Amino acid sequence: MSKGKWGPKMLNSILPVLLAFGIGAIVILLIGEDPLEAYGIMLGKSLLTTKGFLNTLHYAAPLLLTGLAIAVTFKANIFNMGVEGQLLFGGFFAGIAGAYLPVGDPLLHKLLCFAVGMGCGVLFAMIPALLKAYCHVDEMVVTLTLNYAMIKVLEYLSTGPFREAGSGYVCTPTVLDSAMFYRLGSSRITAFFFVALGAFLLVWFVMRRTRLGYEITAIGKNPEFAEATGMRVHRKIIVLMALSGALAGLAGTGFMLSEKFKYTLSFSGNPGLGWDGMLIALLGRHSPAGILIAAVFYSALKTGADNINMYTHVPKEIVAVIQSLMILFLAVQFLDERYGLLARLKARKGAKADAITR
Amino acid sequence: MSAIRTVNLTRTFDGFVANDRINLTVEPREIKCIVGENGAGKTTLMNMLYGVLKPTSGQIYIHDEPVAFRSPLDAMEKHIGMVHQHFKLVPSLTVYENILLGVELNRKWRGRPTPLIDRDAEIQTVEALIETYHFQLDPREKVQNLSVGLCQQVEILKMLYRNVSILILDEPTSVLTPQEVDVLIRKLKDLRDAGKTIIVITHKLREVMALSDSVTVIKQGRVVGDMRTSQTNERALAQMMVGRDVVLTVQNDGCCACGRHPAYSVHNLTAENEAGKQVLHNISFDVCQEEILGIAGVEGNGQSELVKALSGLMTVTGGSVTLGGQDCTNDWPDELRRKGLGIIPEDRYAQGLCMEMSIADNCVAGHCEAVSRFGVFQRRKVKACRDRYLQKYDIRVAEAEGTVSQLSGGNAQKIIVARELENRPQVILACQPTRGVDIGSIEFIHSQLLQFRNAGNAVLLISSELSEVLSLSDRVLVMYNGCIIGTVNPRTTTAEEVGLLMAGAKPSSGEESA
Amino acid sequence: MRLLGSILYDSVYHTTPILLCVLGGIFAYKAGVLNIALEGFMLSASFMSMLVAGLTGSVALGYAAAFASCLVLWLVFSYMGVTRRGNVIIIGLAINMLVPAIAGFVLQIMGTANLTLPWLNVGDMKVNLPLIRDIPVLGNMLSGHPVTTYLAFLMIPLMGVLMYRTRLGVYIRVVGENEDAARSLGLRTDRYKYLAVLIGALFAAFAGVNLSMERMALFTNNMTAGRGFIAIAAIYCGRGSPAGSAMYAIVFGVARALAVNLGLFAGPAASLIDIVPYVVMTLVLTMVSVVKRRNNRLRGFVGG
Repeated sequence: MSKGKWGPKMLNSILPVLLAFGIGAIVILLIGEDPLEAYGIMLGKSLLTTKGFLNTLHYAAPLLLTGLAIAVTFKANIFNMGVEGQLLFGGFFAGIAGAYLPVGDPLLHKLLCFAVGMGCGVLFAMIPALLKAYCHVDEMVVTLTLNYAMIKVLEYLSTGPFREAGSGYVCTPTVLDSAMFYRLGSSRITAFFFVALGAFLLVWFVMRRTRLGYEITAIGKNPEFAEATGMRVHRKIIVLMALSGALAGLAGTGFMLSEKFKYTLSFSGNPGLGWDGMLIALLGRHSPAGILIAAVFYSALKTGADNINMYTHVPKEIVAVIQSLMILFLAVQFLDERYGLLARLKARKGAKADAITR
Repeated sequence: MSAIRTVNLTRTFDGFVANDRINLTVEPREIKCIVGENGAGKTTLMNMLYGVLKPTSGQIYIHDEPVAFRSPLDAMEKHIGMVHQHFKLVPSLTVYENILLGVELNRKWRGRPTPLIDRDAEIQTVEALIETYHFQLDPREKVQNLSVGLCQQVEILKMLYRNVSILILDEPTSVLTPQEVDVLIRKLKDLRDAGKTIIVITHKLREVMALSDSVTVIKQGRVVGDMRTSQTNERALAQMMVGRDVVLTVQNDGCCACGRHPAYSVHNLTAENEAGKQVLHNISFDVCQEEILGIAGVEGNGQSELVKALSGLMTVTGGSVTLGGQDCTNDWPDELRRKGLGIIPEDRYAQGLCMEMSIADNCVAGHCEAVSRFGVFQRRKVKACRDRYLQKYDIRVAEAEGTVSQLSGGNAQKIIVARELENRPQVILACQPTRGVDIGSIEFIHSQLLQFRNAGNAVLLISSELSEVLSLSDRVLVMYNGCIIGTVNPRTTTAEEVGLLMAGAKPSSGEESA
Repeated sequence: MRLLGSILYDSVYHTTPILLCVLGGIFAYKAGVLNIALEGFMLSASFMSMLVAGLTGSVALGYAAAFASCLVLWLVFSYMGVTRRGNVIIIGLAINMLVPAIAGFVLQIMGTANLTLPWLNVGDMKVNLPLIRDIPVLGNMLSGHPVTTYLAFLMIPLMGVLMYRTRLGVYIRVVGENEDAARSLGLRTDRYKYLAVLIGALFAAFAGVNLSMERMALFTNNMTAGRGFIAIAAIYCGRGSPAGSAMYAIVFGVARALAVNLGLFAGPAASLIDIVPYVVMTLVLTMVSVVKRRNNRLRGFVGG
């Protein structure tokens, strides 16, 4: 990656955010509320107070992982839209393992839960991965629809075999103490945040410095070249999807053991941690540091949404609106004038290369 | 009055001057050839005449009238048509649909046009057009089923239907068989006699002599010669094009090594394409140690499929391949590399290099073991590898940390050559190793291949550039229609004789000398 | 017999929205701008028709609102994806998220979980075909659907004509197959991409209204439940040909009808039966891909 493009790159991430907030403000005005006040409450508490910020970091942990899960596949031009399903599947069975496995040792119990959760994430990611690798089935359509199937399966499991008998609503049994992550201090943050951070650093290293990361980048930029130089693209797709599924499963497990403790039908919220991950991957523009910042920022938005509900009359659904607007605007390179100039120069260079090869 | 005149036409890209004050005059009703080396700026010039590119400075006059084209549409309005090197046809549509694309005829109902396309009228119109210009085409055939030569005819007809008076053809003969070239030359002369002005861009001098009325030579973006064809000859043109005397500089003068131990054997190889049609028929040959085996042939006669099969990008339906005694039929590319095969692929920017990745990353592609430990790259070693290649192979880069997209064709190709040769293979599969490469790099790459052969290794050279195959190889096979149609000794065979084989003419017994 | 009749009727019933999405979506597919926002288009039509019909008491205004909302989304999608050359997949997904977000926001403000039209008798919307309805079994299947359903099936041949026999259809296919060729002859390629997406938007509007107002006079958020994606899968399987893609739409409709009717006997596992259409979709997609590539011997992932 060449230097000196930071300016437009950053702006291309920040402008869509501002635009989305702008439109959100108009909507808030339309229902007769003060957008500045709403945004102030939303972001102020979750970013500017110590306790609020630590809470933000707590909620950022799973987002960081789902963002990473999607970003790594984007890198190879693979669209794993099934992160949501993989996360739910992993989270669900991590919860089951946490509730039913009578392991006394807290560390061992947690490790087992992580193994189950990540294993489930990988397992569910293998369906589209194998279909893509061996039958060339479009992974995007498969992952998108299998999400719906997974939600239905888990709905069945949580209302049927694994339902907590005494509860008034549909949920699975609460995980045992030995599987729970406890809060550190007065905020909600738990040790899971550091687990997530560790996983994040590990993946960063893999993508930047290892042969696997190099091959994934090559597949994304030129799959024909990757195949011709012996990278066995289909195998790498499977490995990559497994990595993505494991990260999603890890996110689900962590969210289960550090926040929810049981599976409910709204476990992952709306629009779901997997979808949040896509926004984060786009916001971070495929750079690890960007993903970290985006995860924290978006987590602040989400925790702020609860405050908005508490202190104003703006429904917290406004956050979902702002989020989808951000994704929409992020799909386009905004700085067309300046950025476009650069791109145009590049195109000319390309044309020159063409002219030279003729 | 001239058909086209340019005054000081200049075009720069990022400070690189592609066309430098070009003054070109094309008389009406003549065939003008514009010749020059790869990268001399011919295509840039044509793109300006056709409105694809805007000139940086200078002026174009069409029939003595100054014009400023904003797009090819403006050029078409002035009755200029262009047949691009890469055809602008829609494969799934028929010939008539392609010719009438954008000017469809609608069915009429009570004298008023309806939204429906009138297929019958369209077919009739195109049939009449084909008749007028004496082409041989079935208007109902889908373009995807046509040979390249016929596709070109469709392109030309498309322009003729739009009533062009000036027709530009970019490298029209590069994909044609010698026979198809003859047909094209005849057709173009007919068109000239019918009153059209024709400009042909080419670097094949023999065709220039056979075809044109006048010729303009371009070198490094400048006009270096402009004369009537009758007043010049091939040799003089070649000298002007390159700036010195060139007649195939690197010549294989080693002795033929046949009869030694075969390093690479292909036995009865067959392969099918996606439609299930057989595209390779029982291909068999041996490449011996210390031998360069050339495969000549017009493009599209199975060479691409052969290369794909041999380089692990396509599985075969039958036959076997052995390398140094080991079977490697249907091996994946990484296995082939491990067994000692180096591959210089057909299309360097598709299979050989990743343009958006750094030069260093491209240098280690496919050979990561040497520069990594436990799957982790050792940056120092990667850089050392890159610097070694850059120096040893004289690869000129503006910025060593930059990407491959910043390199010229020749330097990019040299990265592939360096990468493949430096990893000590026993056999090199060299496909179109010098396509679109400047003369200096051609020389360099040729001498590297010879040196590699002299060290006791085998080279399989597949190229559609006949002169390259004949001058480098110890033995030459000719491919036609998915078969090896003959073997010739390049020392004793003329290009004309090989040309006949390339066109599918069965060899008489005397030609099978090798 | 009752069960069979009910399965057959439901097959037509469940095919309708998918079929509409497919018939509209094939044009965008052929033009090379895959519109996975069909899901969002459909949901917005479902929502707006019910919202406006509920507020004004007019079914016609409901229809108008559905179309208006789809036109707005069409402009957003095309402007971002075609004019600004954004990534259409991401834009599509964003629209698919935006619509339920807005619907959820509005529902929250209205303080309700779903929209109903108590004054609308869904039965009135259904058209019984004379003569045909008296045929045993078949009559039961073919008769008694809303007008939209009949339109959807009539559209299959009409879309075939539009795609293969008119300039618009030819140009849309050319733009998708070789944009360079189209541009070199002076076709304004962006315009045809806009039009291709527009056809999809209009059909998705029909599908959305069919789903909410015509069938049940009910809107719940996310009620499209992936039908847009199933339509995309059908388009993929049929490679964008009107008849072929429509056939796959019918396959998925039948799968859903079977799932719904057999689910009645499944007891507690009923929600498990709901996954049948999704599983069928994955299987069909795989089979089509395997058949398509049965002769392919090229390795690698170039061009899908």
